[in-house]
Amino acid sequence: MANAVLIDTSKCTACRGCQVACKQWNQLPAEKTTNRGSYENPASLSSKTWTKVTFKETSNDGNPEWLFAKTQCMHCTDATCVRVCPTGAAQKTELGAVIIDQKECTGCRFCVENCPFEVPQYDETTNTAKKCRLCYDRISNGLGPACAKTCPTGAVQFGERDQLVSSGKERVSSLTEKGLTNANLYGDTQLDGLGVMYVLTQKPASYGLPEDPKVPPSAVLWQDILKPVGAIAGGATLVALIASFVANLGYKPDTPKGGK
Amino acid sequence: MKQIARQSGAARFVHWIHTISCLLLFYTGFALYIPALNGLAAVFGGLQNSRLVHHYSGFVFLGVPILMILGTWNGFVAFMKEVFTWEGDDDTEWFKKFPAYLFNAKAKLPPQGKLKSGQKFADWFILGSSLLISLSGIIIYFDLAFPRSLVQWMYPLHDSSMIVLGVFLLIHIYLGAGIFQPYRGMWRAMFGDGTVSEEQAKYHWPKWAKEEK
Repeated sequence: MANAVLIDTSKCTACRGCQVACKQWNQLPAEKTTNRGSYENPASLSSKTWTKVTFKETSNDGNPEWLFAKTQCMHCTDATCVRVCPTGAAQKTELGAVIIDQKECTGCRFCVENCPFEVPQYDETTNTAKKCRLCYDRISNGLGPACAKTCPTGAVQFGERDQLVSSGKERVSSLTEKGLTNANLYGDTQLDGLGVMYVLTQKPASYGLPEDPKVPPSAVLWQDILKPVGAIAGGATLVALIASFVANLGYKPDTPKGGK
Repeated sequence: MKQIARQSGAARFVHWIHTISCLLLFYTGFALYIPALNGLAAVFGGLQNSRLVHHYSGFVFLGVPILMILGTWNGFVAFMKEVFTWEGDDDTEWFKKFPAYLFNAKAKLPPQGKLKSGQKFADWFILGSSLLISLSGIIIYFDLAFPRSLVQWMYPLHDSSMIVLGVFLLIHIYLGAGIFQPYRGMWRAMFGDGTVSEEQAKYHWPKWAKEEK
């Protein structure tokens, strides 16, 4: 059964309880940050911060609007980190979570550089990449992730993906009826379906979410095209050289005329 | 039998360094970056260590030739001139006839100078792909200092350079190590005392052999 998270930004009050619950459950230390003139803190995801609420100040028909959205790993079905991981450390699990097995990770940073959402973060002290793992230890024991558990408004829901898609769609139509005409469901189709979906009240770009996230074309060339090309090129060369050797079995050099 | 000097001590030294670093790089590269071959990394004590071997060998692979080029500048310039000089019809004809010759070593080929046209052709690709694999490797190693959009393209560049280098390396070993029957004994030029026999010189590089007399 594929699980997922649905984040309803229309219910998010930016209390950041999810950030704290994530740190607490995963035993992640606090980070020293500086005032950047925003409540959004820390500035970005890091190896010690696996989820954070973004605060976007926008204007809607001349009225100021403050958009909140919890960000973390999107647990993609077609996950770029899983495609590029050379050791199998990054895996899409049957529970819907994409995890990076810390024992298998060699710190090559392929996932860090290629994730379309720029989620995995390199930890120098452990030489591994780290990110949200959808509280894999909790969900495999029948509990919801810590962020969903703690959310006081129900903005973060954990459950069966298909159900969340339909409840997300319902929520979007009810918001539209209430006059939020830009409301939309994000993540139901992207990258074969994201494991984290959003009910957004504005266009994805207003939240800093890519409209159409893709596996980078360079990663497709690298993983899906060059690997077979390399195998064919190397194999064909070997076959040709063996054939050449066999064709010349019994070869004797001409003795030079008049030579010693 | 008379021996003719072919490879200088400096050339043989760099070749030794490259033989070792290149084989280590290919081995650890396959072990690290092809999941099915991860097991090969056990030789170096696991994936983390193999990664270190890959990185250090990479710096040796690039660093030693650079130092040698700076130290023996005139020799390097002479080598580059040789590599980028095409000796007209003899070279063109040789190049055309070589693929068939691989399967019929009794065939006659046009006379060649110090480097056969096939050697020059291979050198272009080996030099080019070595430069590209080094450049992309450095950017991948220091990835956090470069923009993501650049780093992302370095991975396929690194791999495609590896494929080109790998194909030429297989052919190079087949010929240079004398697995190919007419090239028997050729290993001495690089791994031995740096000489080839007069007979070999006359057979492989007759124009050069005449000059050396």
